[in-house]
Amino acid sequence: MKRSKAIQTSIVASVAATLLSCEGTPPPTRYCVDQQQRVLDDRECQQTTSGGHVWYYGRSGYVPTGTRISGGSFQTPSEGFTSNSVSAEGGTVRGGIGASGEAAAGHASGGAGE
Amino acid sequence: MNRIHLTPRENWQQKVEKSGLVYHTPNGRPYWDESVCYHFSSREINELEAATEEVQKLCLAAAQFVIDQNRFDQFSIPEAARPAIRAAWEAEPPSIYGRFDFAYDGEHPPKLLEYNANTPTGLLEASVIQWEWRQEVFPATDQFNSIHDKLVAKWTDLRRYWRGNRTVYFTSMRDDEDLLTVSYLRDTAQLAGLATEHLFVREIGWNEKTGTFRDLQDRPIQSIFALYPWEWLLRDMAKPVLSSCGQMDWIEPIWKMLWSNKALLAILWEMFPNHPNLLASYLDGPHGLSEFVRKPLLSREGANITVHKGGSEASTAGPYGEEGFVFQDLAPERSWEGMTPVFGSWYITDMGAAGVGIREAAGVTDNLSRFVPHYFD
Repeated sequence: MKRSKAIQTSIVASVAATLLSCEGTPPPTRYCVDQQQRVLDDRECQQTTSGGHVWYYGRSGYVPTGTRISGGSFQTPSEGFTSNSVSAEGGTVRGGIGASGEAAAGHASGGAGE
Repeated sequence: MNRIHLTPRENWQQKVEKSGLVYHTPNGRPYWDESVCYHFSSREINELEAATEEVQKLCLAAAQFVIDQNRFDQFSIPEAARPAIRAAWEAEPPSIYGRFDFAYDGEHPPKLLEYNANTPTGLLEASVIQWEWRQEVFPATDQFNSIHDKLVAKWTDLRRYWRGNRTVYFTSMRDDEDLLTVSYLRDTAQLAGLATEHLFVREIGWNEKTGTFRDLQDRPIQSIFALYPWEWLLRDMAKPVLSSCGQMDWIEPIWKMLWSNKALLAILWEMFPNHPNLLASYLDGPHGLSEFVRKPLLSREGANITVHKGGSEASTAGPYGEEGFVFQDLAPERSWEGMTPVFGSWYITDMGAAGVGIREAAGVTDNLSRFVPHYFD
């Protein structure tokens, strides 16, 4: 059962180093919000006719539509951002997978491992 | 089997971090613990290895039984998912790994506690961190651990199966342990010559027009390893996910819902009563067991477990249990200084029993239990 050589890994060591440094801080998330700062589908801000619907940048991770959020900024961050739910031109929608895990993470260790 | 006290290596934190284990002391509580280790004889290791191979065979028979007998109701598996499970079971799409949790006292045969067959973690510490510890601390001894080599061999098989260049995606939640687990799996896939990319589950795109899941560059995903359990995938996006089964590879495949569900334990006992590696387990109550554990069919990390022992009961908190429970006999166990080990025995698909990682806890083994290395000679 012995191995004849040392285990070689590169990705996991690199990711670990990133997590240990400040670079591990996730970028802010971009949300489309209405005037009451309630989260809308991203498409509401991608249409030029959607008056009063603007982009808002916070650090909360994914937030379902209808939730009121605060603690962020309307200024576009210089270091980039991730999207809460993207409806791209080609019709690809992101953010659909993850809600169940995030709901469970509120009760347990935070991950999906068993 | 002995539990030995040791002086941890100097700068052990930096050593394990360098290999990826940054979660060695979460919230100030030790998780990786090299102040103790387990020492086995070859006989004991052979017994754990043989039990793993044996129970894997039993589980294959059990899954076939559930499908043939249409026992999905007992697993609380939604009707809509059953055709995809049946189809995947027949087609045998790629599968990588699973971790059996055994109770073992060195005297009785190892007893199966559960099969973590969908999203097992604790992989990096079992495969890499404890191996490097043994090389430094007990270089003349051996360890039940060929996890790394078997993972690379399995990915090598899959590269041939896919016949050509394809990117294998790895997805996880934004959790350090999960991210590092899939990062390590990416390493093993890349060592097999596969191209890999990571994206978080929230970043996975769905394109209704083409009926495909897409990466961040809007390219269709052909194969994805998801450290995200099937019951959550189905709750989040049942229709797209089910329609994609058979069109793309979800690793682990959807039929793993039959193994990662603790109803499996009752099916195994029904099919193989009094098997030396099994514990009496029932779905409709304790059946006269005086001391038993009640576990939710789908709980994770030791959540919502109730232990009935010595006339009293103790429970852990959590969000699970709506789907039903299994009632399982208490296993013979041996404790040292109040700590009871659970033996996580890794099985790499088609490659066999690959090694053990030991976690020990003062009560129910959960996400606060400690990982303790081992060696044998």
